[in-house]
Amino acid sequence: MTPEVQVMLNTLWVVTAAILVFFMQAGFALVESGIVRAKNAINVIMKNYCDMCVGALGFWAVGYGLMFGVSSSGWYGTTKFAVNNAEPFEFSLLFFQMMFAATAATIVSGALAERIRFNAYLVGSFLITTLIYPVFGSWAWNDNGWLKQLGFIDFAGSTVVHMVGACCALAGLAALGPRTGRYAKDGTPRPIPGHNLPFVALGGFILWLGWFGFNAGSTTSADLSIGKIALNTHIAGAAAVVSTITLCGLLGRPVLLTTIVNGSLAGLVAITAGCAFVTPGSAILIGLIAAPIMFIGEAFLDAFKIDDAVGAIPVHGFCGVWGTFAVGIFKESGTDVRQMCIQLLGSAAAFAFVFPTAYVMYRIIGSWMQLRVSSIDEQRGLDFAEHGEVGYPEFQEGLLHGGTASTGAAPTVPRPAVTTTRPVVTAPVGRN
Amino acid sequence: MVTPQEASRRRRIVYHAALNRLPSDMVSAAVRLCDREFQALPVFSVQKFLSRLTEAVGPPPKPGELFAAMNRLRVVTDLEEIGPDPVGPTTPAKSQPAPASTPAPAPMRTRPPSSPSLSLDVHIDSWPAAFGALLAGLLLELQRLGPDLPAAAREGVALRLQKVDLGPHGYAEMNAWADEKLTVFTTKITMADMHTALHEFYVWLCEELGPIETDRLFGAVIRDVSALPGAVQFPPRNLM
Repeated sequence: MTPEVQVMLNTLWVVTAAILVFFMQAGFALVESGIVRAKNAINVIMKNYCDMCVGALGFWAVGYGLMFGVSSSGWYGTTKFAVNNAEPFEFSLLFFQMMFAATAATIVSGALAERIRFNAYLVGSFLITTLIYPVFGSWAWNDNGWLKQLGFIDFAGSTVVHMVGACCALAGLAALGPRTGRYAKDGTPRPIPGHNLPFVALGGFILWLGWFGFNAGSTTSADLSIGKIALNTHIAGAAAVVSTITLCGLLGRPVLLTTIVNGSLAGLVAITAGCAFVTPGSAILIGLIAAPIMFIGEAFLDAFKIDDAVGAIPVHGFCGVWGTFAVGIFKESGTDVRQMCIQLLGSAAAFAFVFPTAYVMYRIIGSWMQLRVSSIDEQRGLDFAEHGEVGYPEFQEGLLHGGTASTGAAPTVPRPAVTTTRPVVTAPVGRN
Repeated sequence: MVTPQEASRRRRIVYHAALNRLPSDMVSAAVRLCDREFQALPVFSVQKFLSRLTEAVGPPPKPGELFAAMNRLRVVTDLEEIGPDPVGPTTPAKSQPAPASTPAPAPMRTRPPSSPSLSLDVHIDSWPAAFGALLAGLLLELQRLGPDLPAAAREGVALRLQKVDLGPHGYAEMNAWADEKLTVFTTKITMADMHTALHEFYVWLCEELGPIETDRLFGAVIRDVSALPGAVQFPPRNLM
């Protein structure tokens, strides 16, 4: 095969994989919107739709250069900003990496659901894809990155993408606080069930499909390793589901759809770092162990009253760390203690850099433009409060609010679903 | 369907076994589940009830303890020994509060908080009337969930209202309502005050019962009040 044909095949494969990763945004949108209440469904989907867009622009302009530009220091790149001229294949790589950046940002969306202001979230997403994600990514994936030089292995991003997203989510949750009434006075978490479980299931399928592009596309070349990577990806997710069902049985818990979908994602996140370096048998073990780690993560969050609306941190954070660490245990060349230490160092570095940076970012955003919606907006739902529309207009009778100012004009039917301006939600009539 | 006495017995078993063993929102969910699904069954199975409860609202914190408590109560023959029925006639409604004496009554009628149902002869002829009907309906729903909840609601909402910006008449009338001295709101209370008061009620309830139960409860009351005569002109949803 001539080199030209190989480049063409590589381009075809990388762009196809990038399209699959793009489709993961739809998966995230469905999973997250299904898990939240109906009054916040549109807001969640809007966040997924729009963070990808602002992230794409920021990553093209700055992020890609920081991540993959020439890095003499090993800490960040200094070239390839706002790429307009490059080798043809570089555009494919930029397109592929842009989708990864959007994935990291969108992990935050679900965790902070039902309480963060839309505009504040978008500013946060822009900064994550433009600065936070690329800087850490350069440490691990830039040829001169200091972690890469140490031998850190994260093939498709258990830490670089998933844990970074989870750390940003944790920082956002620390800045935002839990949803009103999520925890009883004695600290017991109250379940807030989602409004559309079929959405969650469909979203899970779409994410799983996209994951084949996410992991196998990370070869960035059309070579023979793709088959094993796709197989490892699939069986790790499957093993995690089996493990989740078993654990539910052992713990006497009902086997909930949301738990199963999150269990599969836990396995997929965990195999992401090592999918090219482990055997299928090891991939199964990595997936099996991911599920209990997700359960531990959930218990940890509840113990500290961290209200992660969709369980993003246990799945992407805890299982991201596990998957990264597992590379040192299960890589085909044999268990390597030094590698395990490097893997842990990489995950620790991710937390040490991303969490405080993102926390400061959210605090600054909060002081500048208000991070959390008011409690009245939380009561009414963010679909209406933030976007002036509702997800299910045929069922507006179920809304608690009238959707209009309380002026005494007495509209009997709630306002139309689609508006062009933000509605006036309160109109105090002359204070006494 | 079982006899009313048997229905009350089952409800008492569920309520008094769950009390102090489950979070308050799960207690109310358990009572509702019992009424909805277990009053049509000839035999009341504790095991089956716990399975359905787990499916409906999640696993109870201490299932074994709850199971044992329910079984203990099942063998008690005297209903009063089990404890009062959380929704039945053995739980008397609070005494009828006296009508307002301080603020001048507005030309409207609202149902007092402890009246048995939102009767259709109540006419909503002003925003304060709709507001009063909403508060009354909410207290009534709370009464069904737990006999102490209405008083706790009055106190809790009044405490929250001290921290927000209400007009002077708003404060006066809401304080009188909290002291059970007012059931009829005057037109001196502003729309903003009513809006704020209901929102604080909502937040208080969220913290007490959780957001899901709160949405359900507010939704039910709003639907009831919306069906009252005159509510078309003063839709209660617009106060939320």
